[in-house]
Amino acid sequence: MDELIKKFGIEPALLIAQIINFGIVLFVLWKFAYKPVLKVLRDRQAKVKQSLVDAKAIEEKLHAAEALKKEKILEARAEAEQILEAANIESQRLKQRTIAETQTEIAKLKTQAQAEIVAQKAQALNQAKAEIVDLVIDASGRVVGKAGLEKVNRALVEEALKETENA
Amino acid sequence: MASEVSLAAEKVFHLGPLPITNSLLATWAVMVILIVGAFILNKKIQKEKPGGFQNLVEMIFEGALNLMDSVTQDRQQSLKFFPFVFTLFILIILGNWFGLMPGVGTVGFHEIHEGKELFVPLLRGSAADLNFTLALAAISVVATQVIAIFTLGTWKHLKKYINFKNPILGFVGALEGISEFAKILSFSFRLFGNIFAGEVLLIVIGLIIPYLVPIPFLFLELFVGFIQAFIFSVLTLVFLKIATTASEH
Repeated sequence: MDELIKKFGIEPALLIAQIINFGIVLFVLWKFAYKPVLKVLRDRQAKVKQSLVDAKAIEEKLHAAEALKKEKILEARAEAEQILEAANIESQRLKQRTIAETQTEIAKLKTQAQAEIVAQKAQALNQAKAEIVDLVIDASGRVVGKAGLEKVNRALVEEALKETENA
Repeated sequence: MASEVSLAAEKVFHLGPLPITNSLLATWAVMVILIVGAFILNKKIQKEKPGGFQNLVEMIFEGALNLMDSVTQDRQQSLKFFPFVFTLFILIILGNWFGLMPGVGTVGFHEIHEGKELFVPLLRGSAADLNFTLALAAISVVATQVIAIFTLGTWKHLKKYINFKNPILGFVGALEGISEFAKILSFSFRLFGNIFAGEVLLIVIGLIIPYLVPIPFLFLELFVGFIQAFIFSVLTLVFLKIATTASEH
């Protein structure tokens, strides 16, 4: 056994030195590597977890907003349809009224024009009558004048005309 | 190059009562690397925008924790064991890889020892010295016991090993007790044996064909260095997990 220990070079001082070496390495790594790095890892993990939760909340909010948007759009569409329909009805009504008004106007104008035509016709007739009387007087005057009579009584001509008219 | 490879780490000089071996020097070198790395990391650490180094460390830590979760099934427990298990891992793996660096094991001086001229390398892989592996094995087993006592209580823990109610359980308990000591030996000799054998292998290959041929063996030894560190720390973790679980009977 002693020879074996000597052969392998085992010495208590060396064993203790190596144990101390391990202790030093363990301490230094613990203090300057494991603790800070593991803390950073832990913090980051917590942060990632938190941001995942946040992301979920944001998504939910987004969904809610989207649903609200859809609802509002539907509402607005319905309202617009209503407005359009009302406008249509109103315009139809206006159109009908305008047509009716125009028609009455036209009818009025027509009767007016007819009345005017009748009046003009009567006037023209009267004028023509008067002109014919004058012409007859003139002509018969010329004819009778040559025969001696200076003037034909106007009243007589008119009377004659009336008689012809009545006949 | 040494024609004879010593099982024991060679003593380079004495510091009072403490003989300074080349393996101890290598361990110190690894410690300096680790401590400087830890200080740099601590200085650069940022919460929002981790830099490249911090990112790498975070990735390794996360990976290690996930791996530990597969053993402990409990993130809280993984976090509790993490500093201890990961320190074992990083110290062993860096020690192993440091031992493969050029110059380690080849740069040294000649010494007259008992009438023979011996080559003494200045540095030697830390796990190629049984003192290092034995110390870590002892730490691992003692820590397991301590954590078991803290979580289960002294009495409940002792009942795992000592049981008078039933001769079969008493025998099993005694075996369990022996196995705790066997653990120290298996831990230390497995790590020492693998790393020491690797160094011898590299030396022998280097002596036979010094060019190109040792390269695949170097990669093999890099892998072995990782695997041994991994085995050591995962076994420790498993024993810790078992120790914190009350015995079923």
